[in-house]
Amino acid sequence: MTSHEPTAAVTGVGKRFRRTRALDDVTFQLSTGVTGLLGPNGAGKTTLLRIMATILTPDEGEVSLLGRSVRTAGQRTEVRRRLGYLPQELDYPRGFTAFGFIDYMAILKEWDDRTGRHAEVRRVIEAVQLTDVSAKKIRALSGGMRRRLAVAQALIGTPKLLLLDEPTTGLDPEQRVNLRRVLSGMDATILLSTHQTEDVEALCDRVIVLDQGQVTFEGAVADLVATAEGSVWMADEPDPRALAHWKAGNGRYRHVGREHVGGEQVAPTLEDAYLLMRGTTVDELEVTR
Amino acid sequence: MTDWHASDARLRAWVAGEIGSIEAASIEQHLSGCGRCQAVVADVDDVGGRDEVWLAIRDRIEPQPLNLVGRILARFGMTPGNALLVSSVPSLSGAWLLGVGFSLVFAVVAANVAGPRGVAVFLLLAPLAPLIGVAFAFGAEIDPLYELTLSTPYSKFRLLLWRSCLVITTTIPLAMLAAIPLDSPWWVAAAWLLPATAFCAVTLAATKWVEPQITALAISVAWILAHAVAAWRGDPLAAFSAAAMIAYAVVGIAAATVFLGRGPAETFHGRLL
Amino acid sequence: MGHADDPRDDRALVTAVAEGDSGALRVLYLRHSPWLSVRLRGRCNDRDLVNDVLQDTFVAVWRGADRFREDGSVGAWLWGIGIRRLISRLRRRSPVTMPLRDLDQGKEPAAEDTVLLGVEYGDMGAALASLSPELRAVMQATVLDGLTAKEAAQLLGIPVGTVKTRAMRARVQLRDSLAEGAL
Repeated sequence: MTSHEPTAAVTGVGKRFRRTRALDDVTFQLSTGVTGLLGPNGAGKTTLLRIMATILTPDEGEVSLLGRSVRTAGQRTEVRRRLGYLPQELDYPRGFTAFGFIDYMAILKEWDDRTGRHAEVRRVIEAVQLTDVSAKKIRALSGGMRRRLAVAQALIGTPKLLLLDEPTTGLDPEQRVNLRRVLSGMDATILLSTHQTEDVEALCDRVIVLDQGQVTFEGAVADLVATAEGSVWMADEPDPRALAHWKAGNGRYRHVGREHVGGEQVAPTLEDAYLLMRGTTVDELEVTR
Repeated sequence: MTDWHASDARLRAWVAGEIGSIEAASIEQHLSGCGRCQAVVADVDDVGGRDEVWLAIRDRIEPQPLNLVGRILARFGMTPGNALLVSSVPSLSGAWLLGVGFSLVFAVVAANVAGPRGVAVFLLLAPLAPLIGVAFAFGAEIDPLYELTLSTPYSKFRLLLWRSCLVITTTIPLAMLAAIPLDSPWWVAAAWLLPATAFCAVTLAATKWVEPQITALAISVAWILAHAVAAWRGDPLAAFSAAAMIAYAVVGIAAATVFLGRGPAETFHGRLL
Repeated sequence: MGHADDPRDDRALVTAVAEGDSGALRVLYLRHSPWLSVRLRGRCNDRDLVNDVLQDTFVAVWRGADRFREDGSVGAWLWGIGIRRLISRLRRRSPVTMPLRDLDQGKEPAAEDTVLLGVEYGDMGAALASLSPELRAVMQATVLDGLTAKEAAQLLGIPVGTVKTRAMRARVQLRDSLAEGAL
């Protein structure tokens, strides 16, 4: 269950890469439960997660994780002991088996006792349903399996803070359900980045919308949906004055926009609210996907 | 396969060891190919320990077998876990070994072609071999797990030090072997070890601020330029004078102190540690 | 984990094992370890040792599954690995104590035995049944279990020379009784 005690806080964080500004005065708090980090590609989600994973240092601002600032190496080591991180892309070294890779990561996470470590390795491999292929070379695994293996390494040691960068990439619907089951069973603060509203609906209690390096929304998923209340309507003909319109399954046209121009109002979805918040047309959205 | 099956009663008797050898032989022959009778035996023979045996099998097949280097390290007393971390450095099997090998072959060829001058060429290149190894022991370009490794509590300096020691101990004997056909004075084989060690120590120490590839490149360029200048002045072995040797030792010890000492470092490879 | 009802046949499982599927190895283990265990205990009545042999056998299957030949029976292949692992374990131990299951009973083969052997081995079965227990033990090890004279000697705990002479005597007797049967 979500408690409101903040377990992680990001305050005024900014980060530049040469000329591009990746993050600009980003501030939010996290508490136990699953929070979605929603935004288009290039919004700065990966940079934010890398900073929170103690890999990158922010140019400005403060990051506090699990009650610790991460200013000194000692504090960071303490945080890392209870941190799980799934990078957006993970290239595996050659020659590793699935089991061997997780074993390798578990050693890096200070699981020194062999028996206990192997039990933990099996546990996380089982959690992502890769037990039968655990002895296979990683290069013999499918893309979806590799992605699940990457998720498995983030679960080692049941971390208190779990940062997942696009965990649903390459997963089929059944595996998404399994991911949801695994995450909901954890008593941890989980931040999950995605560019798909479906993931947020399926997996998250709260959501942070990040756009061009800035936080544009922070709150419950239902509250984000509510921001589009009264801004969605159905009409028989497309109306170009709306921010976005597309042909719905019933052959009519669904419109999203601040200005209500005609047709009957319908209840908004998360997708409607996200479109409205971003102020983007459907065409642009498809391009960024 | 025949239609004949052993009766459950006879299978039970066989499991209990209560039948004659002739019948047993017959049943055994039949069992090796009959799924139905195998299943009956599985139900009848309820000895304990079947799961324990399976767990033991799983324990032997699942873990990544250590590669040759890892096995050698484990033989010398390193824990299997650490041996796995150290020996899995992808660069060991990768491009740098080719690079090192190439430079050594080049040195030998140069030596054989140019006679005594070849000794100078060898001395120029040999100290760079372990240096290249250290530069590529650990890093974003080398280790695909670099960022993930940074996010773990394991000491990166320890990892770097071990992997560096490993590449140094693999490249130095290689260079020693390469020196044999040179037929050079006895001191040549040893003379390059001191600058090589100093260069590696400096590169390791500098990882607290910059990536080792940059340091290694800078040292290599400076070293080659120094040789060029020395050769131009007519003293190609100036870099191996007694004074230079003392300087290498001092620099090496200072760098080792920086690397090993001064509390926990804040940055590593130019990144937050 | 309920792997026992896996629809794949043994050969498909071995192929999957060769590709690194440890789930397939588990199914093979569940299907074959019970009878292998009983059969091995018939050669060496030390349960712990037989468990170690089973372990060795399936680890060997894991590493050598790609060497399985398509035309053979998986059960026979497993037995071949198992009995050799048993011998190599016995070799490391001393002294070997356990003979074949009823070597000391020395009883006459029951009529039923002869019939069963007839099913699996034809006339050869009936002929085998007529051998004395020592000769039968040697023939069982060398012919039915498929061992070499040296391996049989290690399994039975007798010198290689004895195995060879007994095997020779057994063959002569078998030839005679098969010839009688043909008349």
